[in-house]
Amino acid sequence: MEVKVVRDIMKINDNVAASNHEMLAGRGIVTLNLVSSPGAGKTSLLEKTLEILKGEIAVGVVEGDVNTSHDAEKIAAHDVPVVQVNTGGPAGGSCHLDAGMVKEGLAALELDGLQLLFIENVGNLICTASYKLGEDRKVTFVSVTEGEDKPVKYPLIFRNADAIVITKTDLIPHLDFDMEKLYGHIREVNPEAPVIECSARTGEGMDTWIAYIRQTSEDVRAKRGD
Amino acid sequence: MHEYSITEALVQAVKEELDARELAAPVREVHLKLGLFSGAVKGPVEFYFEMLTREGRLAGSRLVVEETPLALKCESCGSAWIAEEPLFRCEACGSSKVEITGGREMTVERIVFDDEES
Repeated sequence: MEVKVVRDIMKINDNVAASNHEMLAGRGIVTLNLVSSPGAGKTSLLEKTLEILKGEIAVGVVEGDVNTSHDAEKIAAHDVPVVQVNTGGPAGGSCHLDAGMVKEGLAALELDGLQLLFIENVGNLICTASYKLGEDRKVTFVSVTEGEDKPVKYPLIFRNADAIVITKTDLIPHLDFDMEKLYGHIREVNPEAPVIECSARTGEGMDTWIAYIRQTSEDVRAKRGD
Repeated sequence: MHEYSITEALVQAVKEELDARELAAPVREVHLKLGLFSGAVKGPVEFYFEMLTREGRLAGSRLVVEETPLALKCESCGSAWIAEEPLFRCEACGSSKVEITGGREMTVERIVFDDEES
């Protein structure tokens, strides 16, 4: 005997992601899921972003890491609500945030009055691609030190990106790095997403990134009818 | 390593289906459709399935994985093809408006039971 099932196994996660999204959208919060390999510069860019948006947009942060609360401490120094979600123990743990972990994190975060939420995912280009968290947009970061072929080596995370941010551009003079080649590889897997170049260290290109955040917030709200 | 979480979700999904249908017979096979562009890889999923089903409701069952290729369709000219590489440009007209029509599946397709017991 056999039974036909046809059941998506990610549905359990996706249902929780949908309820996270509904809750956040209900509060008028726009959510960005930030993904990259470890050390691509998400936290530094986020810190710079918080400095710039201070007084303009009320921001909250969910910090995902396997271990430690180092990143949450850095973010908390900017006087914004932040919650650290650790996905594992000292010997290693889950390589990604899932919607359930984010749900628990959100329960511990002061959401009143927030307009924008950043979820900084665990640094990982494979596993984070499979899990929806409840975000409005997924942004994939790639630093210039990683080599130009990252997008074709890890196509899913770049294909799924609503925007791609190239970080640490201030280091280009010290590297054998070919920006055109990186763009070529990005376009092979994702021909449409906006690509933003910036350096958190020098501030170069930050205006483009901030403009993207403002525009995205407007677009998401317009679509929701906020 | 997220294949572990994915396989846990797979096992949970199968158990939920069994409960919902009130099926108690021993399970012989679980058939999974796994897209080559799903983000999960067959080998580790099979490994974890064996590990996660040593005891309990699915003990002794076998996971049968059917891998599905990355299928693309051009939104501009309508041509469809199976992509060997995940490159999203139309081979016929060069358009970048390409839709994924297959290869992202992670679905339990069917559950086969031990007939003698059922």
